[in-house]
Amino acid sequence: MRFADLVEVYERLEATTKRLEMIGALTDLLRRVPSNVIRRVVYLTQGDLAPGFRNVKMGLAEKMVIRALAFATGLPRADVETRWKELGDMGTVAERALEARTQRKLTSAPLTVEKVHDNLLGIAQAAGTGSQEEKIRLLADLLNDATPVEARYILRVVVGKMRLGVADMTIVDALARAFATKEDKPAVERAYNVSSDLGGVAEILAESGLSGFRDIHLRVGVPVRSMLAERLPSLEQVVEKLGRSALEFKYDGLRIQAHIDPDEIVLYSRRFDVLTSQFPDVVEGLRDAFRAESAILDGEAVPIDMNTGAFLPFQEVAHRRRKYGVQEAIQRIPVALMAFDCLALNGEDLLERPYTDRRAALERALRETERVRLAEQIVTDDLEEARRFFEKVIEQGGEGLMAKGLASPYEAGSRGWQWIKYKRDYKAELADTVDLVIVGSFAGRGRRAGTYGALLMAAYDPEDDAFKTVCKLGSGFDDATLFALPKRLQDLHQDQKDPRVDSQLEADDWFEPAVVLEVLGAEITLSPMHTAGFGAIRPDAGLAVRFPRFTGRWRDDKGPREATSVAEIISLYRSQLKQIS
Amino acid sequence: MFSAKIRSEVLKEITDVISTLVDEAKFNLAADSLTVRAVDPAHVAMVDMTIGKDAFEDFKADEGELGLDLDKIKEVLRLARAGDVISLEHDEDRNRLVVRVGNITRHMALVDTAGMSDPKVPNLDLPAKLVVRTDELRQGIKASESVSDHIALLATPDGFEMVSEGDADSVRLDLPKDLLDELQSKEKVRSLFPLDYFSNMVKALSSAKTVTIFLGNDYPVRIEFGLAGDAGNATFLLAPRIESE
Repeated sequence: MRFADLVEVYERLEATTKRLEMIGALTDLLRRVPSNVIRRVVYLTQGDLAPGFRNVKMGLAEKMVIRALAFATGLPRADVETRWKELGDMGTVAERALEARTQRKLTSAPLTVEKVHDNLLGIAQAAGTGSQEEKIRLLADLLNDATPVEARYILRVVVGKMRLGVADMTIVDALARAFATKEDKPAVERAYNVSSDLGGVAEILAESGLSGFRDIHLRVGVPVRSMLAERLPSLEQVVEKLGRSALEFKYDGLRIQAHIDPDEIVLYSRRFDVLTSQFPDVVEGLRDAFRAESAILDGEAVPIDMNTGAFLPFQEVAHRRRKYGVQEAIQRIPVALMAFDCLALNGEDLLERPYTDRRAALERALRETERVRLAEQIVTDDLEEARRFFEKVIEQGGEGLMAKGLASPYEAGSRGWQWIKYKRDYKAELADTVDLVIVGSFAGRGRRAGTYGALLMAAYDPEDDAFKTVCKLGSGFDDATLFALPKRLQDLHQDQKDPRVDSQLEADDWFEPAVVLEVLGAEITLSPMHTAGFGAIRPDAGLAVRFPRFTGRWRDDKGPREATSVAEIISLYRSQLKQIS
Repeated sequence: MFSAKIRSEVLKEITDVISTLVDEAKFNLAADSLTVRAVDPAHVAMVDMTIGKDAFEDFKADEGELGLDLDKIKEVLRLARAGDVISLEHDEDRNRLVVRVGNITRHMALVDTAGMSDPKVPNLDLPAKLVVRTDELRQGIKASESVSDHIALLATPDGFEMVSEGDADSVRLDLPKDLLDELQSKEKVRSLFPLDYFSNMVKALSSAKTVTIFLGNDYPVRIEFGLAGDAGNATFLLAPRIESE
């Protein structure tokens, strides 16, 4: 198939913003395309060369693209660079550059879709020494034969910005119309959501129509488009909408789809990037926790404070990169996989099965370990119970709740009312530090073995002369401080909890309240676990400092009774609540 | 099977001509000759060369092909003294070329020829033909180099012209009919070419005293010349530039 025929359609697509016109143009195109090239036509239209999960990347830096353009057009490199800065779109730069080309070629043949796709794939796959030269050669080879407007789209694929305004669902629509009827869109969409390969779906349709979909099954190793959630602004509305439903802890992490078979574990992001090498700790954890033959699991990778057990903000691991520094990052901030769904187990496709069945399958598939856990969950239709669970989630560093219909199937790739997320509608910021008293400690683990992993911190309540807990403090200590702690606290050690300490938590060691530390937190949250301000805001909750961090300042100038008071904590909680839109 | 001995000047001449356009080339072997056909990466120029066995001191070959990195050949040539004979032998077991010059033996890895196609020589209908002395061409190029980056070649019934026009200056070489060995041009034809290509091509000719030029209007030029005495011959094709309005 001539590439010019495809490009002509691209120009029409680019010229309109009307979705129906796009669908019309694509439908005509798809009907005309021979079935042995339709796969490539669809990938190119998506601005890609293969289904997204294959992670085919051009690996051609902007500088190299400019070099190739200069080489193929005979224009000076600086000239191409200036045009690029002016126009901002490499496609238009190529088009103009080819128009300005005065040098004729000795040989040229009209480009075919096959040749364009082959060369671009060659560029993506070139590796090793001399690969940059090879990439440039392959691109120049295309540009030699390209018309200016063909060059526009070739370069856009190269830089990954197609600019056609064609969404995947528009192609799905057009495929349904071209090979079945527009009412068959859900079937086409499902085939796409399960296979994540729109080119493959097109090829099946072109060769055998809708009946070919019988052969599309979930396959371990082929990622499924993630099910997404709607959101509601209040818990009342969530409970009203779903009735008795499963409420899951919504972790602030990275969505991960784990594909597990006896030979290999592959982790995909929601956008189908392969994350396996970035999260070897998750892979290892899964190897240990998994007790079935094969499965596809959905979950969230969450950084964890090894010592307090608290979930950390996701930014803590966001910088993990391939190869570089991963080992060190694993040591410092390990990641746990909080699994919440099971899409396939031992070769059985569970997508259509109700949530409760899939949750049961998940529980069968995994033995909970430190690194792999099941998303914490309750099943309820009671608003108060829901609220208590929500507060616990927030205090532990979660984002909110995910409510799931008990009978709902896994709707790959779609956002529906069977999954509803509820996040906090406010964001609080603690502007000031608080001064808290050390009342207990928890044994350290990992790098902190031999010292404390976390300290139990309290505020002072002058009303009943008691020290009431507000957080476990584990971060902000440098190694020297950390390892000097046991000695420093030695004289304060007590065999049991000091009578003035009010705590629901069982510490490993107890201290006489004496030492005051300056602590910075993200905010004050409601907490069912801590005792400071218990009952002041809500009858069954106290207050806690979220994401507490030692500032490094020992308040030796302050006695324990001069620490931040419970009343101050309560007023901090009240003053920080600012509605955000 | 390939085994040959060749004088270093001849090997240099062959290498210079091909390396004008490409860094690596596929040498096609036959019992009595060696041919190379290559297009430069920008598809602007082509070389088509045949070297008969007489150009070699000794030549034995079966049908086959060798992919050579021309930079490596040049490295070997730099080791040669005037009059040296270089021996070339294909070590088929290890797929290397064993090159001997003086007391030095170099084992040269061959280039994979899988990606090198044999380009088709386009069929060109060029109305004008002329035979011109190589040193005249060199003069014309030398005169043009500081003036412009392109050069026009013209043939008329009365002679041959090379014209270079820059922003400010222009330069022109006139060769009337009686200074040419041959001229067939019923009407005036003119084509414009990139000077760097044309210049590199002409500079690569070391033994040819004259070249035959075929010319048309805004059309490629074809330059034919002899190599290694008359034991070989080669053709350059060069695509024109289109005059900007």
